[in-house]
Amino acid sequence: MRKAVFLLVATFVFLVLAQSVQVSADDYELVLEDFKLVDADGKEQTFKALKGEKGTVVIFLSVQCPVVKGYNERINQIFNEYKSKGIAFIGINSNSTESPEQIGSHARETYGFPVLIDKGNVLADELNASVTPEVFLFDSNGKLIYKGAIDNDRSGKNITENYLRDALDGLLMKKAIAKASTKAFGCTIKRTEEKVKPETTSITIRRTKVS
Amino acid sequence: MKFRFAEFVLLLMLMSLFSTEAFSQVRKKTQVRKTKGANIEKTSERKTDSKSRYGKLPTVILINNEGLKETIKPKGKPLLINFWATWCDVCREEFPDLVKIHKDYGTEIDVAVISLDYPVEINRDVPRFLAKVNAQMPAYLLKSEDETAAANLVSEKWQGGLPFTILFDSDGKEIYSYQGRFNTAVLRKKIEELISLKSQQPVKSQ
Repeated sequence: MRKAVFLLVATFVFLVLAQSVQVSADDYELVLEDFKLVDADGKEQTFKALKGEKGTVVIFLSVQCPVVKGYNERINQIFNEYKSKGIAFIGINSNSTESPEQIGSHARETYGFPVLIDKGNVLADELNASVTPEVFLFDSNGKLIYKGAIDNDRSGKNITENYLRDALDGLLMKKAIAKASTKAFGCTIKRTEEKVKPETTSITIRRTKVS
Repeated sequence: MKFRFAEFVLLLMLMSLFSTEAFSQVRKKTQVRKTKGANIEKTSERKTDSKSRYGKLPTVILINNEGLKETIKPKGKPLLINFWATWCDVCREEFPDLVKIHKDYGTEIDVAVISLDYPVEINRDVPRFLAKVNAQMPAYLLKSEDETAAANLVSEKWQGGLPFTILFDSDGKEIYSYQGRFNTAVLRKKIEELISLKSQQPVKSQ
């Protein structure tokens, strides 16, 4: 009888273990409460002041990256289409190889929204951004609801999935977003060797584990 | 009777374990069989630009996600893979180091490069660049139908940024990976550790 009990316990342990393997380990809810970064003119800007009434797209950009260049027209199209719907765009440049002058003049020539400088790639580290272009869509409470690519075709000729538009529409229509995160090939953000957090940068992020 | 019951439970556990494993194996096999052949498409000789100033241009093989799965599988030796594109400045910068690594360790490890250029460059910029840097390793161009899946196939850690370099041991276990310009000294050390590990292993007696 003892053997039978032992085996029953073993079966139970086995079943529990087998199930736990299937549960993914990193389901976090991320809420961006605020950040403070400077723009190309050295002026301090905050997420709270720049965020949209319904939602905010934080987009990691680069002056030189050819993939970003290929996306600029589409980025502006989406920005123009959604700004009247309460969606704000905030560009972030975390590349240590690009100067504030370059970033400033490029932003003025290219985008209708502000581009902030993430010196020391502090925000990129906090959000785990590593590619340009890479978008992070936050709802009106600052909760991250989509992270990844704009669409599924760099060339723009064969787009079959409009990830960012779908996420924006989902947010505006209060519907579930089919894909909460995607990956796409792009330029790697050129991070700094020395880790120094500038005094002008501050970031408040809340992470809660989703069970 | 006590004994019988115990045996029965044990048998049940083993059977459930085995059946799911066996089922997934069968599924995997049929999937591979279904897609094999369509995955790897060689560029035809006709397209090779023989008049190039670099002589005959290297062949670049077009792959999709299924082809990628095969390409990143080690074939008896450790495998070093570099994902790159001609539009990526850092990739072009680090490429000569990769060519040197291939030259130095090419007998002990396999090296392959996978381009993420537009497919139209398969007979143009990609082989031209490979010829220019005298790259001799097998070269592929990935036309992915799902880039999220492609990146995850290679490594969960890979966010899709180029360049991306990954070293697998001969069993396909990830030993080292880096998104961005790899550190040549670190990568060489990792390769040498793998090679010396292999030479220390006792030879199996027949």
